[in-house]
Amino acid sequence: MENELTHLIATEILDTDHALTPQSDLFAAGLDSMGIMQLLLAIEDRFGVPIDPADLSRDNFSTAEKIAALVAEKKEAANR
Amino acid sequence: MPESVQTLPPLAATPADGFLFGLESLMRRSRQGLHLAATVIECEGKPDLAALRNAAEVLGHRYPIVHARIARGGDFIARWRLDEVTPAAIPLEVHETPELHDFIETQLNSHKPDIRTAGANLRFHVVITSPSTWALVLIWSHSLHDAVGIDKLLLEIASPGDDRTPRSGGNDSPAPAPPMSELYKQALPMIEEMRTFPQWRVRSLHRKGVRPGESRVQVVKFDREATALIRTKMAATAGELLLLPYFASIAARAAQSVIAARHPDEQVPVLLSLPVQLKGDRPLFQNHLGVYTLLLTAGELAELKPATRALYRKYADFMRRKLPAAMDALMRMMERCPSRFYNFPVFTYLKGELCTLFHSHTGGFAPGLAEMHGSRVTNGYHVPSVCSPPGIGIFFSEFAGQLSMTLSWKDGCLSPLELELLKQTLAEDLGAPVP
Repeated sequence: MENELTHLIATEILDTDHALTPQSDLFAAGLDSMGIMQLLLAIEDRFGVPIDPADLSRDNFSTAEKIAALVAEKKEAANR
Repeated sequence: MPESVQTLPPLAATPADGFLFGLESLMRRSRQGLHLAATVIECEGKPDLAALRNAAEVLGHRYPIVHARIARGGDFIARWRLDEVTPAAIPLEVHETPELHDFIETQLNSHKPDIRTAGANLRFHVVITSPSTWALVLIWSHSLHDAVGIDKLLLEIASPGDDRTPRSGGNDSPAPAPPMSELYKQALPMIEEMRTFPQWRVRSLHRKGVRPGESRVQVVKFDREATALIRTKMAATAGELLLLPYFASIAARAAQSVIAARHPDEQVPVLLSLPVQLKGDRPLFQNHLGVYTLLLTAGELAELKPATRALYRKYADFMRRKLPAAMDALMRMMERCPSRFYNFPVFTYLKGELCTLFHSHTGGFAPGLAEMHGSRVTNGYHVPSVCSPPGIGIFFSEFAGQLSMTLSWKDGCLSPLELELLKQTLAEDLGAPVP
């Protein structure tokens, strides 16, 4: 999931020439409010997980790795 | 003829330029002035006038477009006529006044620059506001620039170098438009969306039968402490990251509070037009915006937290229905039409209203701009003017942890009491005083 999210962010959200890794700082790479909204939509469409606004913290969205962990946690909670 | 005349062909306007050109056409025909904006850089110290004049000289020669007029060619597409430009310095004037925002109002109402005539269409004003503070004020046309282009230009003004080689500063090779039949198919979802607008009875602060007067602006600069308070409230209400829907909801609720007071027997909906920057590397000139139109009911706007969620849901719906691409196709369909054709949908589907208000949150202002020729930059913000309809705009941006809000309106659209109500609603939602 980390790599899929990294690829999605690099190609569809940020459109950046810089190589992104799952640990890259997304805000330093240019992730803004509009990008966050597009990312939330993509996560909901691809992984079937809605993210609650309460989870929208800079820490949770600072890297693809952390976003993947949040999505995995939400999926697990939904399956319980 | 200068060499640049032979080397720089006319530069095509983007569909977003075309839309803004159409908006300016509406303003000219209703004698509302021109669609101008100001960008303000506030600095500590004394201006280095020699360095600023050098930047104006270098950039004026590097970008002949700042002297070009816009006109439709034989194919009816609007182009910046770089082929008829004589490169020259960008005009720079020096003023001394502590009343910076009065000065900006005067400039926005000056009808200069005029993009339909040859001559400078970007102007630098150095305003000395006190013995130890000054401001650089750029006056520009919205048909030439947007916030992203201005941010890039500011960095070049701060470090102009000495390269005067003329270049267009825009996208020289736009893809040709698909055939009209194909464009119509792509645009149809947006046309169908617009056909639903009349039933909403959208209103703005425009007063039918009242000729709008001059542009008025008020800039509210929140200090870092107030900005932190506003951010804390945002985090508790909508999370830390949804800046655009949060501040758009605040702006929409403020405008709606005034319109609802004016029409107490109606449930007034809001049509919010959100300008969205398209992805990709952006040139200095030409607008590259998509317009997202979101309809919000009075019920959805009743409280701030649900309003933010409703706005986000409407945004998601707009994206999922592929309406951004349909809107782009619609704008492309109109690139050969006379400018006033852009206003037909407004008068057909919106009964004369363009939208409820103009709004933008341009995020971090001029990232990387810390100094302006030896002076520390203390704040920066944009001051757009608006037309009527809608008669009002509420704009936000942030510089180094300091939020700024520009209120912009046309005389005749907002009474003093209504302005107070607007500011009171904004203060309540933001959680910080609005003087």
